[in-house]
Amino acid sequence: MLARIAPGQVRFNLPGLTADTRGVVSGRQLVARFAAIDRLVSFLRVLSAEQSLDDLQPGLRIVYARGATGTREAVVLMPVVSPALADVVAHAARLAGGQTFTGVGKHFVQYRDARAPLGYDVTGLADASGDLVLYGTEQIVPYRIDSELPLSKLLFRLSLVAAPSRGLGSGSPLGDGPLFITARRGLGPVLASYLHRAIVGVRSPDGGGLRASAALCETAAASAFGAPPSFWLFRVERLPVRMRGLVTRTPGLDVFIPVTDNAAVAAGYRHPIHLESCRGSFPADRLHLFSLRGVTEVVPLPALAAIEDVVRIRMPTTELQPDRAAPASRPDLSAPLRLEAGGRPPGPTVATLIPWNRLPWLRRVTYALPAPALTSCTVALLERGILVRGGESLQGIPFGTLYELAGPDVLVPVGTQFRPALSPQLLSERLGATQGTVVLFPGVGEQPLRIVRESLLPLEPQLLARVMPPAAEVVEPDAQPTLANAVEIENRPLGPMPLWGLERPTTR
Amino acid sequence: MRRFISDFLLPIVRGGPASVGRPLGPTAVARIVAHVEQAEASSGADADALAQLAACRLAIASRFLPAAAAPRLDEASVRLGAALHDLLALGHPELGGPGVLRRQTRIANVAKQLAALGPPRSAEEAVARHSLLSRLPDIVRVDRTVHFWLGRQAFVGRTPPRRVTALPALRRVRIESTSRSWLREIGIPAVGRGAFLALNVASPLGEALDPLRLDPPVTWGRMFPVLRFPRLARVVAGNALAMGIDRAGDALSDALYRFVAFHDPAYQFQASPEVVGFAIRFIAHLVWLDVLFGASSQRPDAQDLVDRSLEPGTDLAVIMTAAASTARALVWPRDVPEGGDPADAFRARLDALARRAQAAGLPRYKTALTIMEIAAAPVTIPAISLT
Repeated sequence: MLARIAPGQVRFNLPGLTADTRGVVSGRQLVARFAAIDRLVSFLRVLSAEQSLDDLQPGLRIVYARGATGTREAVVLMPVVSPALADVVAHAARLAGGQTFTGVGKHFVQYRDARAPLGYDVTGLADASGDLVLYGTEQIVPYRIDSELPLSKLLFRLSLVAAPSRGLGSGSPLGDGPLFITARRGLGPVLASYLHRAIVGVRSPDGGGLRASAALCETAAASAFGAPPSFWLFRVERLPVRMRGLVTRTPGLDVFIPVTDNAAVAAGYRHPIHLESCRGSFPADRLHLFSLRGVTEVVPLPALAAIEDVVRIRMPTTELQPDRAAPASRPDLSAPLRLEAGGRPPGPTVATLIPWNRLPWLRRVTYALPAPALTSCTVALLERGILVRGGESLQGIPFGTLYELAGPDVLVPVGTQFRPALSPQLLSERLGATQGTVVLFPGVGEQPLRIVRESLLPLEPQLLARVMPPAAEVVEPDAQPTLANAVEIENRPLGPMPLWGLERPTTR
Repeated sequence: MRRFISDFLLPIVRGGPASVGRPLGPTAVARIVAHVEQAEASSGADADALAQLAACRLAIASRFLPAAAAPRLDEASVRLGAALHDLLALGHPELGGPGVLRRQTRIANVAKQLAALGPPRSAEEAVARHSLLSRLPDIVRVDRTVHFWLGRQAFVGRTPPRRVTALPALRRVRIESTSRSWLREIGIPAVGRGAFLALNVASPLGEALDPLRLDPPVTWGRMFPVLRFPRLARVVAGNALAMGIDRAGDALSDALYRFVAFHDPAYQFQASPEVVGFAIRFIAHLVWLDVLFGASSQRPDAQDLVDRSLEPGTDLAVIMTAAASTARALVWPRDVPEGGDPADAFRARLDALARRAQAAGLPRYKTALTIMEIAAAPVTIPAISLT
């Protein structure tokens, strides 16, 4: 049925076969046959890793064909762009458990293998009906094409698989490139303001590289009577590492890593097929988001607005004053100082206000604090609690309300800032935080406190105020007897009858 | 009574000339005890002597038990003091002459009767008795020979009277003095041996602190009554370590052979597996201490095959090697882990001891193995029963 191609052979029975410069015979098309769809997917994965599938377009077709025995098989038809491509396809098909044929039109003969390095030719064409006739080494099988499966449809139908973890220290799994983040409708503004604060709070000249843009997208409604679900789409560039945990672990937020300009895969997962080699399968006018729930198509391609334009502007809560001229008095230009939750990164913690019911915790911590920490701390006993202030920073006391310096001796809760943003020195001067007096803003919306210098006491004496050991008894050293070196026998005169009165030994 | 306390007991404890006069019997001791009780209740010269004696004994006792109270001059102390006085009186020159043996026997029997108190029942009692007899090895007798123009005159343990040494230039007086240790050089007469052993039984701490004593040799049966008290056992171990692990270990190891073979007189503790095991573990404990803290731990063990059988440490090496070969529990405390630097150092010491034993200790090795087999019987805690 099949004959090996001999070196130098130029005439072939199968129409369309030609020999290249190596003498290897191939037709204008390749056919790869697979018994099951999973083998087809494996073939495409291997092929997409080595070769861009876009190079096979147009002409790449995936069809379901039924053979003479009635078995349904997956068949891939590809154009032979180059001889090297044919070998790559054959190798990938062999790895996936499939077979490769070459030819043109309807008749395809088995591609070269180790037994026939130059390829095969048929001894004669078979008179078989069907869309495809595949001439194998063992049998000739005619196929009738049942249906065709577009590559894009296959890409959308495949489920994501978990990406292998690279372990600690090997870089963030999100990478350093841009990210897409989808947020539910209600989380969008919150995320937008969070990103905006992060961008504004970075003090480097280039803003730290963090850039974000957002758009509100709508999906098709499930029913005509229901509102179409919508979501926020954010594109974030150079997301700081400290924020990645928040966006990946917050319910309602999904992170996608772009693989092409208009396709992104959920973070932590990968598509079975290398989507980078299938760019042509994704229309340029839409964005595809691959997740475990399926593929979300955003049509048309969303126009992302800068995050600064998306953040809601807070309107003043107070009513506007009526437009009336106040006769004779000049208008007051002063603006009330407000303490707000700030977007800038928090500064070092310098103090903490510990409620009185947490005094046992403070006692326990002081046992563990080193001497330098104890000596540098001062305390003020307030009605609402104990204010503990460290030197340049407060170390070792992680509970209570933590405070940072908004200005010299002006304490504000960590993460807050004043508006208007006055200079620290002016702030301290106007608040009266001079000559050792500390001004404490307990919280947003609360009245500040002034703590005079005399109220700030060193912590050490406060801890050890009641230690007074009893006086020890002193032993007079002169009372200790001195022991001479030797004991010298001094035999005294015994006198007459020295054993008089001495008991005699009893006989046993 | 005052002379007995101030002239004998106080110098025995504090040092200085100790007067040895007429031997004391039980009757005299009873009178002394009664007088002591009266003197304690009153104040005067007698009370001062008692206070001085108590202070000196306290200074000695506090070396062993820092929190010890000042020992009282009770009946046991008076009996021990009188027994020692009588033993010292055995060598009095005025008792010589015909019938000296009969007189010495009579004095020795009385001394033995006075010293027959039995072993102490507590660590405080042991230390109190030892505070009276701790200076036993320091007792010396100075014999003086006065050479003068007509001849010479000897004074045994006496200061020559002034009439003998008068006009030294005219009479060409020259005094030769010889100081000899009463315990090690002069020795105890054979008739007094029993009394001396009874004294050691009554105050065994002194013997435990002097394992290098040659005669009478140290005996495990007399030492166990103090080694059963952990505080005193630690003191004895530390003292042995200060003497040198090789010499002290040899003495204790040699005593072990006699103890197991029932060569020693029968005392409270007989050679049972528990008692023998305790003795072996005590010796092993000395080696542990030397490994951890001793100066010999800094010295590299000799690797050559020179016969060192005459050097101290051979008997110790034989005992330790036999114990380690027979039952590891005899040399390895249960609470010491197998790993770590101390364990490695001790194993290295055992190896060195084994090399030493193999090179020079083989004649006694089989006997040592037999001892270890006796000791390797299951041990109950406490190793030595207090009853």
